[in-house]
This record gives sequence, C-alpha cells and structure tokens, in this order.
Amino acid sequence: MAFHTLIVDDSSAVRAFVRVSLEDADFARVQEAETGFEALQLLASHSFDVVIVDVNMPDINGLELLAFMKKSPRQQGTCKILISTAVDGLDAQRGAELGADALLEKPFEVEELRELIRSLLDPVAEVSG
Amino acid sequence: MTQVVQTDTLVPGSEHQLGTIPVLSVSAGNETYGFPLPAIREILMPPPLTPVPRAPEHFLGVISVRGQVITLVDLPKLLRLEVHERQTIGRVLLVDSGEELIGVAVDRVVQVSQLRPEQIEYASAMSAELSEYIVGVARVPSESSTDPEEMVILIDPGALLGGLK
Amino acid sequence: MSDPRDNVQQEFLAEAQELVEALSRDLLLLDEAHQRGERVDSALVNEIFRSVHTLKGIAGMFGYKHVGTIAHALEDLLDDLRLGRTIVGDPLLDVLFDSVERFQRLLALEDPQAPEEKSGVDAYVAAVRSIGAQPATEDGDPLEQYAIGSAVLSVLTEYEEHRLRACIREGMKLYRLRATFDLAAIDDSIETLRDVIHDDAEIITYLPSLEGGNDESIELVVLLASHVPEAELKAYFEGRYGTIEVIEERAPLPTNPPNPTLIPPDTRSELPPSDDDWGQASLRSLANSVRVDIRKLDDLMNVVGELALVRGAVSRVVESFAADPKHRQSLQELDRVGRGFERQLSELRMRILDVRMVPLGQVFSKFARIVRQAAREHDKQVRLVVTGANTEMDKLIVEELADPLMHLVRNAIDHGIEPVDARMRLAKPAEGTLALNAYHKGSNVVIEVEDDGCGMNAHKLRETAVARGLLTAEAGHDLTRQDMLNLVFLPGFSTNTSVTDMSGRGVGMDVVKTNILRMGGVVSIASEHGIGTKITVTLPITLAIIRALIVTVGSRPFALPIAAVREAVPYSPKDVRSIQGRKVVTMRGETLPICDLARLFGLQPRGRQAGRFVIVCAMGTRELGFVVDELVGQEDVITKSLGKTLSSVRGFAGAADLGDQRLALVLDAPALFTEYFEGAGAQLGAETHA
Repeated sequence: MAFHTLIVDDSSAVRAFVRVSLEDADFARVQEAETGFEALQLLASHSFDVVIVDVNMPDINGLELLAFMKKSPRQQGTCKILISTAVDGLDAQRGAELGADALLEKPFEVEELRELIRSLLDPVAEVSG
Repeated sequence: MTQVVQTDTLVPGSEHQLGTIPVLSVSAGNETYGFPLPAIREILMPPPLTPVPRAPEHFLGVISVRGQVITLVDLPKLLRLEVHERQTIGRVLLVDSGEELIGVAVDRVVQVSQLRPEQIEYASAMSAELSEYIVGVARVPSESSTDPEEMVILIDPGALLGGLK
Repeated sequence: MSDPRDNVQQEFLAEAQELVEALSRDLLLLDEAHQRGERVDSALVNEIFRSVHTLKGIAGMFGYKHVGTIAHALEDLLDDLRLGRTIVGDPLLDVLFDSVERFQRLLALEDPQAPEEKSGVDAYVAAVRSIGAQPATEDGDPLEQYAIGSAVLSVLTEYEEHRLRACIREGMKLYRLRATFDLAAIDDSIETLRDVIHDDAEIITYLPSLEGGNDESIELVVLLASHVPEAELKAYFEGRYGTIEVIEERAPLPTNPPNPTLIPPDTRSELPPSDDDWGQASLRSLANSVRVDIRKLDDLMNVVGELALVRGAVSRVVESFAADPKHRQSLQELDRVGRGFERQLSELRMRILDVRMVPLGQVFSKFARIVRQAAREHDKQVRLVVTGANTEMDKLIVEELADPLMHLVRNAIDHGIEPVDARMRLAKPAEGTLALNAYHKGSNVVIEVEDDGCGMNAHKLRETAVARGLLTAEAGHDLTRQDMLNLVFLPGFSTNTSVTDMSGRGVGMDVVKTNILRMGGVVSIASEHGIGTKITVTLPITLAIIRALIVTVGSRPFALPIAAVREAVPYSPKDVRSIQGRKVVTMRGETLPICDLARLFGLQPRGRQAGRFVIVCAMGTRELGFVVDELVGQEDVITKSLGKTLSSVRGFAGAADLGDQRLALVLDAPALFTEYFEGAGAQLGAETHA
C-alpha cells in the first residue's frame, strides 16, 4: 500500500531529500509544494496520508497551514508533521497546540524521518487494513 | 639520387621511427599531395557543401563538422596547378593549420609513408616561382603499375592558412 | 541502499549557490539604502534573514558543517536586526559582505568538514558575534490593546508578531481583508494583490480560512497594517477583493506619533539607475530560471544530432520504397509523419540552444559587489551604471567573459577613478561613474567599460614602454596617439603589484586581450587624459543566437537577421523601373532601391520571376530591398564565424546551422548596404535579371 505524502518546504534541497528518503515501496507517492499557496491547491484536490510542513515559510507559514488542516474536513485523518529548527522554540510549541502529530527537528536523518512516519501510520494501516 | 625505401621497415601508425617524417599522401586532380600526418585531424566522407558566393575560386565553400563551420579548399586551384573543374569530392581532410582547422577536398587517400629527410627535395632548393605553400617534393614508392615511384608535393599546413587570407 | 543524500547533493549545492547569490544581491540593496541614509526596509532584512536561515538548515542536513556554523552566527545577527534589537551600520555590513566569499569558498571545498578551515571559521564567527545587540526599549506590549484574537495570534510566527508590534508602534491601523481566490490562479492573484498594496500597507500574514471557498477556491484572511485612512482602504478593496474590516482597539490608544518616514517605496528597483532597470529585471528573471547543468545540454544536443541522422536514414528508406506504386499511400503518410518529426526536431534543437542563452546581467551583477569593495579599499566613491544587461549570449561565453571584464572593472577603479578630494579639485563630481554597456551591433555583441576617471596620458605610456624596454625610443617616435594608448596591451606593461584580482593573480591588459582574442573578439581602448577611459570589447556572435529570416537565392538557403528586416513583399517585375542606372520599385508611393542577390552572388535565380520576393531592409535612414527567390521562414539560428580565411569575402556575417549539417550563409546587412550605396557592387546588384 503506497502512502500518499505531501512535503511543503520552500527549500528545494529539503524537498528533494525528503522525496529521495521516502520513495521506496511504502511511500512511493510523494508530492511537493514550495509555498503555502501551492499546498492549499494540492490539499483541495487530494487526500494525503502524511503531510510534512516546514514551519518557516513566507506568506502562509507552517502554523497557518496546520490550523487550516485541523479544521478542514478533508484532512481529518491526515498525519501532520511539523519541521522546525528547535523543538522547544515558540514556533514549535504553537505547532503542537495546532494539532501537529509530531515535531521533527532540523537537521534530521533519513532513518529518523522514515521511523517517525511508520510509527505514526501503523495504527492507521491496521484500521484500514 | 634517390634511395629505395624499404617498405618492410615501415610500421603503420608509427610516428617516431628514428629521423623519419610520417606523411599522408592524397590524390587530388592529377597530382599527389602530402601532409605531415600529425597535422591531419580527421578524414571525413564529404559532408554537404555550402558554397560561398564571391569567394576566391580555390574556396569550395564551407562545411559543418559537429557544429563547427570549416572552410573547404581545393588544393590544385589554390596552387594554381590545374584549372579543370572538380567532379566530386572523394574525401575531406581536416588539417590543423596551427590556428584553425581547414578542410581540404581530395579524391582519395593514397597511403601513409615514413619519409627520411634525404628523400625530400626542399622547395628552397628548387625554382623560386613555386607556391609558398609547398615545402618541397618527395619521391615515394607507388602502388601504380606503371610507375615504380611517384612524386608527392609536400604541403606546409601553417603556410596554407597564411596564404588563404 | 545508498545514502539518499548523495543523489541530492547536487540539488543542495545548486540551492546553496542560489541562496548565496541572493544574499549578495540583497546585501547590496541594503548597503545602497544605508549609504543614502534611508530607513531600513524590513522586508529586505527579512529576506536576507530567510536566505541565511534556509542556508543554515540545508547545510546542516547535508553535512556542510562550516557553512552551517557561519550561517548560524549570521542568522542570530540578522534575527537581532529584523526584530529591532540592533541596527544597520558599516561594521555589520562589512561582516555580512565578508560572509558571501566565505560561503562560496566553503561550498567549493572537496571536504565540507575540512578541519583546517575551523580556525578561520571560528575567528569569523567571533567577529560576527562581536557586533552587539542593543537593549530593546520596551514600552508595554502594544498587541494587548488590539482585539486581534488568540486564534490569529496563535498561528503567527515570532517574526510576524514582531512586525505586528512594530507597525502598531508606528501608529498604523490593523485590518482584516477577507478575499476569495481561485485556487488555480492563486499565485498570480497574490502577486497582483502584493503589487497593489505594497506602497500603502504592510501584509503581516495570510490566513487560510475555511469559510467561503469550495473545491476550486479558497478564502484568505489577509492581516494588514496601514497608515492609509480606513475610508480609502474600504473604498478600494470592497467589491474588488472582498470585505475589509478594521481590527478594533480595545481601549483608547495613547497616541504614538506616527513615525515621520513612511515605509519607503520599494527600494529594490533603486539599484543603479539605468535605462533598463537591470536590478529589478535580473532579480525577476532569475526567479523564473531553472538551474541547468550545461554538460547535460551538450549531451542533449548530441542526441538531437543523432536523431537528425536517424531521420535522414528514414528518408532514405522511404526513397527506396518510392519506386513501387503499391506503397504510394503509405509513403505519403510516412512522408507527412517524417515532416512532422523534422519540425519537432527543429523545435527541440532551438529550445535547447535557447536554454544556453543567459543575459549578460548575470555577470554584471557580480561586479556591483566588487565595485563596492574596491571603492571602499581605495577610499573612493564609485557609482555603477549598467545598460543592456538583458543582452543575451551563450552561457559559456558569458562565463569566459567574467574574468577579463572583472579585470577591466578593477582597473577602472584602481587606476581610473580618482580619490574624492582629487576629483573635487578638478571640479568633477565626488562620485565617479563606472558604466557597463552591452548591445548588439551588426553581427557582434559590444561590451563597453567606461569610467570618468583620470584617463590615460598617451605620452607617458610611451615613456613607460620605452623605460621597460618594450619599445625602442626610435620606434616610439613613429607612434600615433592611438598607438601609444594601445601600448597598455603589451605583455609586461602593467606591473603585477598594482593590479591584482580576487585570487591574487597579477594581471595585465595583455592577458585581457589574449582572453578576448581567444574567444574570437577584439578589444580596443579610447582615453582622454583627465576625462576618462573607455574599453570596448567586441565579440562576434559566435554561439549567439539571432532570429533570422531564411530565404533562398539560386536554390541555396541564406539567413537574414530579422533585426534589419522591415517587411517582405512579393516581387513583380513589371513594377521595376530604372533611375540613374539603378533598379528601383515603388512601394506606397516611395522609391525603394533594390539589389538582386542572385545577380550579386552570381547565382542562377529560380525559373519564374514572379513568385520572388523583395525583403525590405533598413539601416539607419537608408532602405534597400533585397530580391530573393523564396521565403522559407523564420528561425532562431546560431551564427558561426566563417573563419579567418573567408572573412574577407564581403557580405557574410557567418554561417548558420540549419540542422542535419546544412548551412545557410548569414548575410551581413550593414556590409551589403555599404557595398550597395558606396561600392563597386552598386552596379552589379542594382541590375536585376530581366
């Protein structure tokens, strides 16, 4: 079963890194969004199993996206991961309050990301199994 | 007096046989011409030719070789040795003149010879009217059934460019 | 499984490079504004912060430790700056400018964690941290006075909160603009909104709302701050975008007098004023660009070449079947398909060629930083003016040009422009001007480096040359003034000590000249003692693409650069008259002299006279019609030089590759004009075949 993932980050290197890290059998479908606006476009027409969002983006920042997803009916089942540079910072705290399922601190390793997603998704997989 | 070159001592492709000069001989029109082998970059099947109007007669035009535009020259016309029209081009030699690659249209490639300096009659020793492109002439063994030897007119690629300007 | 990071390494380097370049450009803007005494543009500072912040993030992810360390230190400094905890000053700017070179060096290292770099990095970090923050002046949190709502506050980042407070302190009012945007076009709509608003308000953030909107559209609540009166804002936005409402204050505000200077107009467009606003243009074009590895382009071109051979092979197969009538219909089909293939191939070729073209502005923009640095080093004031930055050339040539041009720029600053006091004594403006101009001229690209500095003393040059043994005294007497100026190009003329470049190599004008010659160009110098110097580099458009009209004359293809062409009209022999021995036609009441190219070139024109065309060209005030056999079409072509040997043949600027090894000679319109109006060719071409 291929999980559908969305990575929202304004850095193309990070998006490429995430994509390459996840593109094995389980996570074959990875889509990228460079801005919050692009993410809104994609969120309107797709359902994702996992959405990874960088907190620090211009215009629509990661927190605003999380808030939006929290209230959006389509994204209720989505696992939300917030990337930030300091998990104990103000921005990260707000993320937790806004419903992020996990916080990932930059820089992170490939395995960290994969492990994190697997642990978040396994319960889901069982239910829809 | 010329010496007979012992063909069995020639190793094809060798450029450093002691004291010898490797020469590629080609035929164009009624004559055989020779170029120092190191100056030959490539031998091509003739590509499409684009004549250049109002260019001097010895310029056949320009050709495109891997994206590079190269001037194509008719040697006999350049040397004013012959006047009859060339029929078809057999091969094109790409000659490194030192500054630029020049294409020389020939009928066919004859052979590679290793010339010893004593085989060459240098132009300075000959008549002064000879073209400045000619280094000299040499006699080499020939494949022809009628002549045991043929005369090869040796061309100086560097002078070629100078003369064409 | 291999570490994914290896695959993505290139991606990282490319993005890092872009970030450093953006940083460099933005620093220049910041510096410019600072020099002019303008208030700091908070959006610009934020941009700079973001560049460094992103760089820090990715450097960490990809193991570039030293880059990350420096970026981290800078990030802290810039955060202080953007949150108002420190202000812009020369020490701060210097340390920021320094970072650009350091980043570039560190990114180029084989081993990104090289231990030998550590001490240099640590020293630099110490320098950065020594630029202290100033204690903030806290006078109560202005946010408490506003009914913003915790829902909004909870999604603001720390920086956005800071901007909010800053705007309130300046006496701006806060508004919520509710607008619905079409999801498909949201990028453009936001861009438009930003352009419309930017002078009058600051956008704090965009909040996506779940009210309004559907699958195709979305409502955004835009949080704004502005000095513009409420009524005006309402009048503008309502109906056009959506609803706008004031965010009410909870209690009467103690009046903070609004800061006397409003948010300054966007300073981005103020970088060196020039007739084509290159700062703005190049920023934008770079945002639209895609990074391409030029070797991949070469590979692509090879594939295109191979495809062309395949197409040729297919044609031959088709021909071999052509004899058999049974196959006729299939063959017609195949022929049609083949022609479609040919079109696509041609299209592909052109597009790949086009990707190689970059605007010269790319190279010019690097100079702004060098000019600033060199000027500071010598305590001089220099203004850089650039025109023609949009002139495009092949990327490889542009890259080759960077070094020689840089030497010329440095020369102009090191030796050309005088120090401020010297200039004032000469009644020159204190600020010297260095102009970089680029333009197409005929079949060349011309680049000029011009300064209004001290110029060169021709006679002194001669003395120096003789003193250095480069010239005998007798030979020196025969020199014209221009000859004397050209002495600078002699090897050994410049002393290595006085002219150095970034990598420490001593350099002279002779090296510049050699480099330019190697590219097939020429360089010339003009100078007036006390007034200034102009160096002109002319490069043939080898590898430069021009749009050309393809025509046939005597069944051979020729290319005529479109720049010279006004129009093409059918040729009717009966309209031709003879005036003073020259053939002319009448067009719209005017007489147009015509030149029959077939005749001029000694080629046999096509059978029928009708069906030929007259290409009307203009050069300056003159017009001339070239008579050709057929119009084939327009194409973007690369003009390649004909080489030294054929350069003396009049009328041709080069040869263009039409694909599949076919060449079309490119006509040199200016030369043909000159020949027609002033030369012997006038007789020949002026008569047309009857």
